[in-house]
Amino acid sequence: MEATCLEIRNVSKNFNGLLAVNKVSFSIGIGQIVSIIGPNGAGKTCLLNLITGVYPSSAGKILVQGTEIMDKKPHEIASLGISRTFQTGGLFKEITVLENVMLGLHGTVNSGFFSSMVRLPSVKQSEEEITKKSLWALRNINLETKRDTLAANLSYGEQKLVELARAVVSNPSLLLLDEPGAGLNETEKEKLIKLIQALKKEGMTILLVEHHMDMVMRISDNIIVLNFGQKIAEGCPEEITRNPDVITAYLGIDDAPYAGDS
Amino acid sequence: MNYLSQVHSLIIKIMVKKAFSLLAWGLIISFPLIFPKSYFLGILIFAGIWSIMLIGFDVLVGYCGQLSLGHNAFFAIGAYSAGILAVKYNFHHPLLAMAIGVGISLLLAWIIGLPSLRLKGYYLAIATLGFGLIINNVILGLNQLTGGASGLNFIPSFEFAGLSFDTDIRFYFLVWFFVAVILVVSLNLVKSRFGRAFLAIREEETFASMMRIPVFRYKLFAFFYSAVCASIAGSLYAHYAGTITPDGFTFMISIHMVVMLFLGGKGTIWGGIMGAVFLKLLSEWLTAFQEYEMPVWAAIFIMVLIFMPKGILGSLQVAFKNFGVKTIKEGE
Repeated sequence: MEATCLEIRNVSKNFNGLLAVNKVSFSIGIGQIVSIIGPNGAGKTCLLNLITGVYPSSAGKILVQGTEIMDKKPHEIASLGISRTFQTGGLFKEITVLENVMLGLHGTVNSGFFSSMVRLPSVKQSEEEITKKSLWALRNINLETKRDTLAANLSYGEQKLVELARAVVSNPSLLLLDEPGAGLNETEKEKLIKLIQALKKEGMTILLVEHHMDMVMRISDNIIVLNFGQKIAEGCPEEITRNPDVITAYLGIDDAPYAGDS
Repeated sequence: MNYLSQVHSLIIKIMVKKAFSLLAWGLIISFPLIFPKSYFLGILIFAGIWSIMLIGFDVLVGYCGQLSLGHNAFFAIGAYSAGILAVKYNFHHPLLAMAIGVGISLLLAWIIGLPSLRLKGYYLAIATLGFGLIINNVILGLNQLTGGASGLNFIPSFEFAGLSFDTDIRFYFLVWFFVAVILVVSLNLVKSRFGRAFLAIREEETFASMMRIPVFRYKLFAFFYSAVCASIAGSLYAHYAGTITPDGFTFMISIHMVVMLFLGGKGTIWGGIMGAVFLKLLSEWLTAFQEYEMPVWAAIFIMVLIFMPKGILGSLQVAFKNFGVKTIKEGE
């Protein structure tokens, strides 16, 4: 039996009468890649927000590696080893690329305010280590030459790469990706798929929200389908493409699921 | 431009920056030695006092992005702690009195910071504004302790280890020594991971908390830090001015802080010093137009926001960064 990385038990979220998430349950094993798909407004991003503590759930339990996180603050949840990228780009535009990636390592260091104010040797050392690790991460995505560029001046694809690098530089156990493929061309999507598969090999558990079915079908171990806040299907890619409820949910919308040989 | 020449020009820019700061400090140190009896000594002393306040203020406003309009309160607490202890209690240890002032400021920063920092933008500004007004009124009301509206007189000069800083030159070096220390400490702070965290908080708190940053705790620290700086500045001011009245610690002080910081360049630390020196010199020039003080300050603020939102230093930094970067002209 695989160890569970993330468990969602009967989670609901009520926004003043609007039930954005309705009694959703599923679990993700360590080292799996799981995708959440569904039409726009199905509650996918809301679910990610509940997991990361952006707002509290109205009901149900969320467990990260056995620890309940419902009453924890966002930074406490992140400290459990969860990293996340955002649909609308979560980079800090007013600082440089290198500074953004260095922020990914912020929580991995222990230096205090006062040690930093007097610049103790231990602080200087950890600062050097953070810089080294961040530059290494930038080298891996071929953006080391843009290290001192303001994040706002990067192209859309570059920004997404940097955000991903920032998310993984702290070696999280659980990585949440919110529409990582959005706005990417075929080459960039191919790069992204290879990256995600490489991360899985390193032992990372990945949960992604995605609309690009081709990508979802290729990389997912398990797929969860949401519609109107409810889970309507769960299974491996082949099962999902044949599921009538899923096809109905997508009827009339452009990105219909990949119709494999049936 | 290939990578190597990018690194090369980066190194040159760093060297130029260091040269500039050395030059600035050279001027600051040599000025009173060359012009010991200068009228400007007094102005530069006030500029130094304000620099201390503004450097701390920049950490809160420029870096962490939290606007407080109540820091006149901490300036007042620092001044009145120094004054009351010396004049009413015959306590002649100015450095200790300054420390006590810092302690009281921290306590009040905690009391007001805890509820206020949960607010954002305008609400935070108004809450802190209210706090500043309250403290000013409290000082006015505690007649016995603070001298009420007439204030405190004959505050003795700053003295430490037997050395009395009773001349302008001595006090000048005392103040600018404090500026130097606070400058170094603040630069260390903002260049560390905490500086990056402050900038993250300024831009988007939700994203910042995903970086494992305890946002509220850091905002509180920035608030404390700026309160301490304002308090230290206040204590030094009391010893220099000799006389303090509630009139000198009103909401106008907070306005001046904001204008000076924006003019000098917020989010740069050095901008505080730039703004203080620039506007103190300007104030001198404007004393002829006493009645127009407020509209002039308002006009300056508006012009800065429209034409130079990054302030003097900020605009210089941008120009500096773009120096040597060739733009491709038509036809090339």
